[in-house]
Amino acid sequence: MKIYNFKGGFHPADHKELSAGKKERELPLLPKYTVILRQNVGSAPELCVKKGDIVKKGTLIAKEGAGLSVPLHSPVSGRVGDTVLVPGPNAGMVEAVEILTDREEQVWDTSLPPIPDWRDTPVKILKQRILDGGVTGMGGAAFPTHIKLSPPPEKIVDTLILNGAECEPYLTSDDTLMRNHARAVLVGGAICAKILGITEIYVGIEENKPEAIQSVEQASWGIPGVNITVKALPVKYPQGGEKQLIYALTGRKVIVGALPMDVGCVVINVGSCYAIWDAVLNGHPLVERITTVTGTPVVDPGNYWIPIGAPLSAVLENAGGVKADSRTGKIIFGGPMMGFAQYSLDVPVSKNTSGILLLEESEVAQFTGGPCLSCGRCVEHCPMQLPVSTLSKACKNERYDIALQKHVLACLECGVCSSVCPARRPNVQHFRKAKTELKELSWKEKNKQK
Amino acid sequence: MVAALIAAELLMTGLIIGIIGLFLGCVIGIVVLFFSVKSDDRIERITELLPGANCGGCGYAGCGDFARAIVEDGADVTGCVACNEASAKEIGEILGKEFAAREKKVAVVYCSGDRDRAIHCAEYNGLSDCRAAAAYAGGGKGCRYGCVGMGTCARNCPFGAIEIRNGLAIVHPDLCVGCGKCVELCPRKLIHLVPADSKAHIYCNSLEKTVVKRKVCKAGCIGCKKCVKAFPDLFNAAGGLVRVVEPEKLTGEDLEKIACPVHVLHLVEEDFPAWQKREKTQEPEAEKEKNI
Repeated sequence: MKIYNFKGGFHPADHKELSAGKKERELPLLPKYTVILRQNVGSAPELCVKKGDIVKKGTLIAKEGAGLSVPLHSPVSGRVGDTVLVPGPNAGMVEAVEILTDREEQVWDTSLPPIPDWRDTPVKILKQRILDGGVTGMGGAAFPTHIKLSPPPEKIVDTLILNGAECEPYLTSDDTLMRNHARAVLVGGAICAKILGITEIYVGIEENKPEAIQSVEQASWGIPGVNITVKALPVKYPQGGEKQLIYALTGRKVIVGALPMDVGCVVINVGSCYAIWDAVLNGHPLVERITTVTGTPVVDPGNYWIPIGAPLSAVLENAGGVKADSRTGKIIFGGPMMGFAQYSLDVPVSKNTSGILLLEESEVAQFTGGPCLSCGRCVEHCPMQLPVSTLSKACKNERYDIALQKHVLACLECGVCSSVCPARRPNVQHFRKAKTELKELSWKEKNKQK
Repeated sequence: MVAALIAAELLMTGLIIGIIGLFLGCVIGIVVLFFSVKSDDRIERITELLPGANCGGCGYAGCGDFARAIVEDGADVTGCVACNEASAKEIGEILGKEFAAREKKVAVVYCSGDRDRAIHCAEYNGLSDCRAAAAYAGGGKGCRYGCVGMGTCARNCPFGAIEIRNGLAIVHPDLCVGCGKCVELCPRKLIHLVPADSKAHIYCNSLEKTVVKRKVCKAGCIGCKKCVKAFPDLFNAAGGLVRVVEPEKLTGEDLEKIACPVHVLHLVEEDFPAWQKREKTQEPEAEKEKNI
C-alpha cells in the first residue's frame, strides 16, 4: 500500500527517549481528587450525587447532559466532597467535584457488567456501553466517541483509522499503550469497526516507534473478523492530525469545512480504543488514563496511570519530583506544540491530558512578535497549505473578512507556523482570535436576521 | 521669414487646442445640464456640524451617512451620541425642526483592580490585546471578571477618552461621549453607560463569592452592605455585589458617611486629580485645531 506524504509539516527534536520504553507505573492513592465536571467537548454532565455520598471506583457521579455530552464517573472509592472551583487545564476557573478517600477500600463499581461476547452483542448495546463508559477522544480534543461512531446514514464509512502517530514531541503515552497493550487497543478498534459495520482497519504509527509497530503487527494476527493493516508513517509533525493522517493512509483529501466522514473515514485515537476495550470487556468506565510525565527537570520521567482528578502537584511529587538544580520555566498539559501552559499546581488531570511536560527555563522562548519578514517559511510548512503570512497580517489589522476569505477557519492550530517563524510571530494566537471574532460576527448576524 | 512661419504655427496650435477645449467644455456643460444628480447642500452642512469621528454609535456608516439619514429619512439628531447641544440646535435650524435634548451618557469601567490591587496569578506571554487574551485565558489577572488591562478599548476609542493607568482602563468622563464602542468591545463586559452627571460608582464587577474575590483582588466589593444600610434607596444589593441605582444623587458627604471599607465605592472625580483633568481637556482642543 502506498503511503502518501502530506505537504508541509516539519520534524522538531522529539525528545521521546526521556520517557519511551519505561515500565508504566501507577500513582499511590491520594487523599483528595478534584474531578472537573466538563471534561468533554459539548455540554457538561449534570451532577447526580450529593455531598457525603459514598461512591466506589467507577460509580456514576454525573449523568450526561443535553446534546453533545458524556457521563462522568468517580476515579476512586470514597466520599463525595464539596463542589469547588479549580483552575482548569485550558485556563480559567472551572467547576469540579471533590472525592475524598479517607477510609474506604478501593473497589470497582459493578453496575456496568462486562460484555465478554461482544461479537454477538447488538450494536446498539455496544454503543450505549461506550456512552455509559464516558469515553471521549483521548488525543487532546475530548470529543465524545459515541458521536464519532454514529455517522448519519447518508454518509458511507468504509475505513476505520486508529491514530497511533503520536507526532507531538516528548509524548510517549500512546507508544506505551501500543507496546504493552496492543491486543486491547486492537480489540477496542474491532469493537468500533463492528459498530460501524465495516472490516477495514488501518493503524497509522510513526516510524520512530518500531517496538510499537512490531507489537501491534503481532497482535493483529490474533483478531478474527477484521482486516487490520499496520502502516509505518514518516516522522513528521503533524502526522497525527486527523486530515493529515487520512491523507497519509488513504490518499483521500478532506476539504475545508468537510468532516472525515465525508470521505468515508473515522479516526479514533489508540488511547480511546483502549478505553473502549476496558469499558466493554471489563465494565470499567473511563476513570484513569496513561499520561506521560516528562521533561528535563523531572527526576523520573515516564508513563503513569493517573486517575482523573489527581492534582498536578501530587502527580509531580510521585513522579520523583523536580531536580534540585533545575529551574522549571513552564509546565504544559499536552505536548509542546499544542499543549496549554499551566499557572497553578492545583490543576487536575482530566480525560484528555496526554502528557505533563516540564521545560527548563533555558528551553522556554519568550514571545516577542516582531514584524513579518515575508520569508514564506510558514507558508511552506503549513500542513493545511494556508497563506499564513497574509492571514497573520490580516488578523493583526483586524481584517477578519480577508481572513475568512483565505480560510482561517481551516487552521488546525498545530503551531508549525509559529515555531518555524524567524520573527517569532504569534500566528496561532492571531488565528484563534480571528476564529472567535468570526464566530461572534456570524452569531450577531444571525440574531439580526431574527 | 522662418520666424514668421514658426509664429503662425504656434498660433495655429493654440487656436486648435482652444477650439477643442471650447467644444469639450460645451459637451460637459450639456451633460451636467441633463445628467446632474441633485445634491442637498444641507447634508454637507450637517456633516460639518457632526463630530466627524465616524464612531458608528448612531448605527449608520459614519457621520456623512448619518447626515444623509437626518435629511432624507428623518432620523433624529439625538441618535448621535457625540453631538453637543449647540450643534444639535444649529442642525435643527437648518432643517427647521426642533430636537429634544438628549440625556448625555458616559462609559464607566466597573473595576478598580489595577496592577497594585489585583493579584496576578499567571504570567501572560502573548498578544497584547484583551480580546486575544480572552480567547486564551484572559491574561494574568486572577479575577475572571476584572479588567484585562491590555487596552483594546483605549485603542479603539474614537475620542481618546480611555486611558490605561497601571493596568486598568479608566474613562475620562469629560472626553467620553457615550458612543458605546468600548461597551461592545470589552471581552469581560464590564464597561457600562451611565448618566453623565453620575458622581460615584462601585468599581467592581465580580459576581464571585467574597472569599474567592478577596483572594484575587484587594479592591473587590466584599458585599458588607454598609452602603445599603445607610442609603437603602440608592443601592441595590445582589449577592456579593452591590450596585449604585441612582449614581447622580450620591454626594461626597454621603460617601464619607458610608466609608466603604475596601474603598471600592468612590467618587468619579477621585480618579482625576485637578492637574490631570486640565491636561487632558487641553489635548483634544489642540487636536481639533490640527484637523482644521
